[in-house]
Amino acid sequence: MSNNRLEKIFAIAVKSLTVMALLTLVFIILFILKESLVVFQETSLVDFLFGQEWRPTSANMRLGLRPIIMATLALSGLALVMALPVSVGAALFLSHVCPIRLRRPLRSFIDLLAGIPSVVYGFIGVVMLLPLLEGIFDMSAGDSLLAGGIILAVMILPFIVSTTAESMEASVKNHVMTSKSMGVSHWYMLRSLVLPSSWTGIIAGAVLGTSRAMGETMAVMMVVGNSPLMPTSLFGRVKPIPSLIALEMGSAPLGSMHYHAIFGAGFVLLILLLIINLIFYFLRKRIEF
Amino acid sequence: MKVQKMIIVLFLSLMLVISMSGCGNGETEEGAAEFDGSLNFAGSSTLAPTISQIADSFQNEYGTWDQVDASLPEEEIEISVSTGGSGAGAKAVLDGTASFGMLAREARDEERDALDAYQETKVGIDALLMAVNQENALGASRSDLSAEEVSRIFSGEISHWKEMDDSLPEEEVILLVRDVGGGAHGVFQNAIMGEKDVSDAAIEVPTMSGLVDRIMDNSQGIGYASYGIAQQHQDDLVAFSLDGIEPSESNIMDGTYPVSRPLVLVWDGELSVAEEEFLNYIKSDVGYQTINEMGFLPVQ
Repeated sequence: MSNNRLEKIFAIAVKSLTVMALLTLVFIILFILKESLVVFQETSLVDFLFGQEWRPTSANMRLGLRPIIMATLALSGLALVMALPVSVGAALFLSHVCPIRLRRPLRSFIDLLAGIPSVVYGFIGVVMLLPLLEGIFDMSAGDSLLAGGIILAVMILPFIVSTTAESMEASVKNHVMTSKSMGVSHWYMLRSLVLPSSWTGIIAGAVLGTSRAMGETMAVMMVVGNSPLMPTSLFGRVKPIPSLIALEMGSAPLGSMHYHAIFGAGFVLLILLLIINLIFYFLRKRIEF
Repeated sequence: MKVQKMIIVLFLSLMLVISMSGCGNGETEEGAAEFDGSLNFAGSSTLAPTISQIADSFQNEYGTWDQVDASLPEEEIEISVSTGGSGAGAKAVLDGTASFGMLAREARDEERDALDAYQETKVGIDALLMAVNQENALGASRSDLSAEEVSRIFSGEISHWKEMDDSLPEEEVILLVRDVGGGAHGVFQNAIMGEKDVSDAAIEVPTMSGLVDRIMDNSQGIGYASYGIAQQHQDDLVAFSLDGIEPSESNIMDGTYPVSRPLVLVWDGELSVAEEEFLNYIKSDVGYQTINEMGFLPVQ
């Protein structure tokens, strides 16, 4: 009897905590939305999203997020393009080629990459990557889309590797026996059986990586130059949404249009993440069937 | 049945939230009735290290409040300093989360109006020096720039050094600025740029020390450096005079050098005894010396 009651209390406690977690999320979204709606007294939604210039403190204020949004997309896209092949290769190696004895230590090493604080990545970027880029490409300043992309690629690598490797390890069991009895080579099995069947894992890793890349602030802010320009070249300077928020939030007077516009930018980032997650979700469904 | 359960769950979580917020209120009310031995400063990252340092020596010298003034209880001196920009400092005073706001600019009118009883005191002056790297060709050939030239460089009209003078290299001018909405940039904007916008291509650096590091790293860069930090790196930087006015201590103090900003503490209403004591300490010789050591010019 008392056991039964305890169980009930436990069940209710768990449920109410879940509801609270959900409420927190709802509250955050509503708060950001509420704070950002004020912007539309000043500009229209279209101007805010597609306006060419971001000049929040200028005498002639312009609040156009287009270069900022494009920079956010370009940065995470670039990072994904650079990190994905490397991660898939590394995952394949870790799950099928590498001797079992080495597998664990190697994977922990890669996971360790995820534990490095982002400001450390940024610091390494400033003192090593920027001078390197300046030397190689003869740039006056190394701050660029490319620098941000490289740093981000390294940062999202462990996420993609571990998600992909896990799904590849799961598919081993299905293929090893059959491949061995059919007498096909190990590499043939990897190329034609394991790789195609781990698409979902790769996509899951890519989503995780992209989401992380889009929200990353500190490391990116230190190497991209933070100039609100359109990302027209790899060597151009850009200012993605998280950098914009981090740089400008402290100095925007409470209640000013600038302040609300920053909240608006935050809301746009939330929506962008949602859209990207949805796209990948449907992509994954497609592949599964 | 299901709906009923959901209602119960929702109700319970609501209760939880209400009870938690209730707790919070009770605590602050209790604290306010007694003596409050902890002071909070919030705001400009320019002023924060200075205040922390003064707070440190204040704590080391006295330890507990009764040592400062016999009428105060024997409670430990706690002074916390948090940063987030001048705007955040004013905001914190308004929200009541800080007893003092640290501003590295004059308070804006809307900030003055928002507080019931706005109070301020100026503790120092920080000047911004136009500076380039030692290896920069402009630094080698010139020691003076006109405000007009500086504004043409920073607005992007002169985007390559050669456009300024044929003897200069063809390299791109790398503009280094603080975040465009921030206090330091506001001073530069008002004094030099006026209505003109700074070029889109300028690199925004999140901190002043970071900005000076970048000037020292990049021979094609030009930026503004805080007087104090520029003094510390005298051997690595070339600082220009503006329209013939040397950025010297006397010129900055009497306001002849145009690109400077006041360092201001703001608060709301009457000060408590503890707050007043610490403010006096900041304005004492020890405080002035620290402000000077941190690279600013103390205001007597």
